[in-house]
Amino acid sequence: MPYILAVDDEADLLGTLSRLLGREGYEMGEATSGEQALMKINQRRPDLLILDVMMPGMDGISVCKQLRVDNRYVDLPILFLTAKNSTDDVVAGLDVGGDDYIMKPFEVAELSARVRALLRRGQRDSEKNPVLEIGAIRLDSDTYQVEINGVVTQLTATEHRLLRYMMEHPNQALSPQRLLEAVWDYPPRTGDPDLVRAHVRNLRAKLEKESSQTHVIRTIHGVGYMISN
Amino acid sequence: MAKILFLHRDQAAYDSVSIAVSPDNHMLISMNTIDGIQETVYRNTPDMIIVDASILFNHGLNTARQLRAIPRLEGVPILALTSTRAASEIAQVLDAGCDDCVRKPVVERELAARMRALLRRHKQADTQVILQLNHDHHIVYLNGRRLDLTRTEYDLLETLCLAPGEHFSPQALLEQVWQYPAGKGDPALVRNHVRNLRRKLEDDPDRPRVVQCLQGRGYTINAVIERW
Repeated sequence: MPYILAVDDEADLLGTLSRLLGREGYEMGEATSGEQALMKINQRRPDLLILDVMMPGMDGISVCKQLRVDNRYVDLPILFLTAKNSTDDVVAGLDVGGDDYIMKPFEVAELSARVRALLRRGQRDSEKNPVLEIGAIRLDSDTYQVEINGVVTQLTATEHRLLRYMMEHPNQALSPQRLLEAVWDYPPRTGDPDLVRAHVRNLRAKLEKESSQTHVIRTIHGVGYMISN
Repeated sequence: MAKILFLHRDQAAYDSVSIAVSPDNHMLISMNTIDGIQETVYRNTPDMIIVDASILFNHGLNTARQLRAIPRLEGVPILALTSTRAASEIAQVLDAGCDDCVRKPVVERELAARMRALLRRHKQADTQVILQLNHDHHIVYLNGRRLDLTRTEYDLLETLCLAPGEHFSPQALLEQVWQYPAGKGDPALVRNHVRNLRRKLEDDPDRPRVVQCLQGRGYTINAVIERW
């Protein structure tokens, strides 16, 4: 469950944000000043920061600047939510390192969609992590080893790329054509789907050999292959 | 400078976007349909896509989803331009996979700043360098691109990759790569080979990111190493 830290000097607004976004399943944290925000971020890194600009003491722009020069937080998604609404303000907020900028008063539907979009992007960036886990499958891209129910299997480079790509796109039926492009880097509409079929067969033989788990990779007839969590 | 692919059928939108991209010297490539886009982006992958409402809302919001399913565009930021002011519609556009959504008429300076924010994040996610080494055949791929290295350059790179993050003095490299006895050999030999290696694997050999040198400590490699 993503953790969002909201920073605003108005307690009412913080309460509203926590209630609205809490209802969508996020875990919410609150800070009422820039200084308190930095302290809380150091205690626990949020997945997203919602930041007001005008606050007594340290303002939102300074908080953002300070985070962006810190290696740990250069990629922390930051959304400005503020009453400052001139084009100059928007440009300033984005150029000091904000990822998005919403003006108060805001519409709930738009705020929550922008929050989702930022979290999704953060998620995409963190897919660089060498270890990926979905259900019972644990893939380590440093060693090309996959572990299912405690059974470790060594994969070849291509099997690893294929499995990795499918795990990065769970619950999506991936066509052989798409896999040829994504995994083998074939130009669009070229390559032989039999190549994908053969590799899926090998991969299944390895993955489903000893594990009790059958159908780690499911065939979706007429579409392609899918891994589900 | 970035490559921006702009999908539109609206001249006014085109004018605004060209004004927005001009101060940052971005290259704008225009398309008026998404037919054939897979071939276009395969040859020439853009750094960002801007989709105008005139194309975005074709077949519902299918355009955004279709773009997101193209492997070459994975991770490429998509910015949508919409004519609507309704928050619910903006929400739909974002939920279909777009990363940002700007209302028309476009305020060029805001659009430019939003583009900078998206490109900044895209670059960050992209900075990881991956080196794949095959010891048996002396083949190296850098982010999927095969490098043409001489035998000595390969040995030098492989030695550095034995201990990523660790520093190798020129003397240590003379001993390990060139097999010189301790204290023999000319450090200039190492410098020359490092220079050649950088020319092949750095974006900017004068500001190396992959083969780094720390004054007094020696050379180190900064990349994710894979062996196959």
